[in-house]
Amino acid sequence: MRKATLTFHPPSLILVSLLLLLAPVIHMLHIHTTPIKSQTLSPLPRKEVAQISAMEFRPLLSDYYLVLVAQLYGGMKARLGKEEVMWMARALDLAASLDPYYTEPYYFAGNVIPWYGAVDTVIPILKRGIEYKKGDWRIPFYLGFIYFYFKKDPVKGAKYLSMATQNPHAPSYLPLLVARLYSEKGHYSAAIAYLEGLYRSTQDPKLKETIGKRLSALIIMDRLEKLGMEYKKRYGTFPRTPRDLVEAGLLNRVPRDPYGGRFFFKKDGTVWTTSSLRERKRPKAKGKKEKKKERSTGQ
Amino acid sequence: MRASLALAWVTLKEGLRERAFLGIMIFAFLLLLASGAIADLSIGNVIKVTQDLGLATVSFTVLLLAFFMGTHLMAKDLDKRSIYMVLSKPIGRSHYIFGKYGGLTALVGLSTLLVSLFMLVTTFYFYKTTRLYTPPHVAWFKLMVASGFIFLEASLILAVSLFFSSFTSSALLALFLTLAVYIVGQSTHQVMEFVQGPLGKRTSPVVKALAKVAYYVFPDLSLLDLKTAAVHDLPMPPGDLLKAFLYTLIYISFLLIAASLIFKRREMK
Repeated sequence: MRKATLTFHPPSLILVSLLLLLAPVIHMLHIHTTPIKSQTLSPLPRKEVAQISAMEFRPLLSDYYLVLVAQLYGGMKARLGKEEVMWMARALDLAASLDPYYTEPYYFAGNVIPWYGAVDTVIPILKRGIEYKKGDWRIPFYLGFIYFYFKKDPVKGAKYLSMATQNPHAPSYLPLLVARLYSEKGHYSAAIAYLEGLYRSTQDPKLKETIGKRLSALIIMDRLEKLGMEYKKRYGTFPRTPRDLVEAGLLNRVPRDPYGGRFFFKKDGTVWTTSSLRERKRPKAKGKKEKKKERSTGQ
Repeated sequence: MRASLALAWVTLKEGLRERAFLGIMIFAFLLLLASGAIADLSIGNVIKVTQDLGLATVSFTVLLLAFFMGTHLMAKDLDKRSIYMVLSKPIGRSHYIFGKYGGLTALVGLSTLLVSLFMLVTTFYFYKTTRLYTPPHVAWFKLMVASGFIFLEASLILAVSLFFSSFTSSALLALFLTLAVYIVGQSTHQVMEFVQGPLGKRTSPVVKALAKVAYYVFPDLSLLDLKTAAVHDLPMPPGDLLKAFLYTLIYISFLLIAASLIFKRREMK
């Protein structure tokens, strides 16, 4: 019977020990490295570069940018800052220039972005949309509203709104809606009329939910503003908070902001909210160190 | 003619036996199956994204086959010296080129047919099962036309790869040269648009002249790209389709004649 013998092979031993040494290092690095993607927004190429380098896969790249925007918007609704909004506007511009017949980038650019700022970035995107999507009444409608409401330019607003109403595919309620936009004098009334129309025509459930939430907030703010005027007639000054209205008997109870903030009156009587009509940031989970510190200071 | 047909048949069988062919086809089918899930990440009209993914898969698969099979099969003949066996028979060198091209085109045509059919089936499945408020319109016939033009593009790429393989013995070099022609052919139209547009004012005359030369010398592959038109149901004038078809046919004939002329004069070591 052959006796089993153990032989030592120095290079293999060195390799095995190196692997054993590296394993905890790899584990440590894995645990303590934050994925870079979640820290920064990926850089966007110039439109011309993307159009040439995507070759025949331009529509696919356009879809990709829209997916990125949808994911960022869905995941970061609470933390959307100026940088993220500008990035989304640029990504939508890219998506629309890579596939100019794709409707969704125009809808997203017209519906969502202006409410977070970046109005001037959205206007050229929508103008391009009008050029390519001639049968679509929504794009001139969005552009008209942006001029009308955000840019305070009723002349240009009227031009695009009438373009929308004259579109053969426009729904029957659109002329009435536009007429209401012109007639509304209140601070938020025009926006409410617009959002009501938008809510009716939007199909995407995620967008519909966003519009619905904003609409209900604006309806409350509009009502508060009107009651504020009533309060001023009685007491000579504007109320400071909705509680003043409750105390004056003009309101049954303090309304709740759907975004989680608190409504207040500005000096000129306009109503605003501490949430700025954005989702409230969730408080960060406290780290072990912070908890320990709190315990030691007796907080 | 008969010799070319026999050679085409052998090339087709040889191509079907290649592992790369099987791998590329499996990859295409998996990608098409996943297209619904990928499209679901987007917002709004997800069927548009499914169609984009489907047509891009057809295009990518067929072009991959054209690039690799076009350069690989001829180089294999030269490398394994099986070309001597073929050329020792009463077969002209030009017949060899035409036969090889016929076989490869049949292989690419068969793949286009299979992947396109699967693309149509998956698109139909997602079209029927995805719940959207207003079901989007899918131009089925135009999707088929777009797939047909993808095949035309791949046929042109095959002709380019055979042209380069006729004077280089390295498959890798032929592959890179074909890839370069594809990239230039895909971009010339867009570059010309930029050069003639507002960006052209800042472009140097040398670059403008180079862009013009490239535009006329290299095949304009954007003429064969009907994917956007098919997905958005844009008009496809029959006159334009016929012109694009004839353009490709003439380009292919030119390349194959040039390839057989070069191959006739090539010294076999």
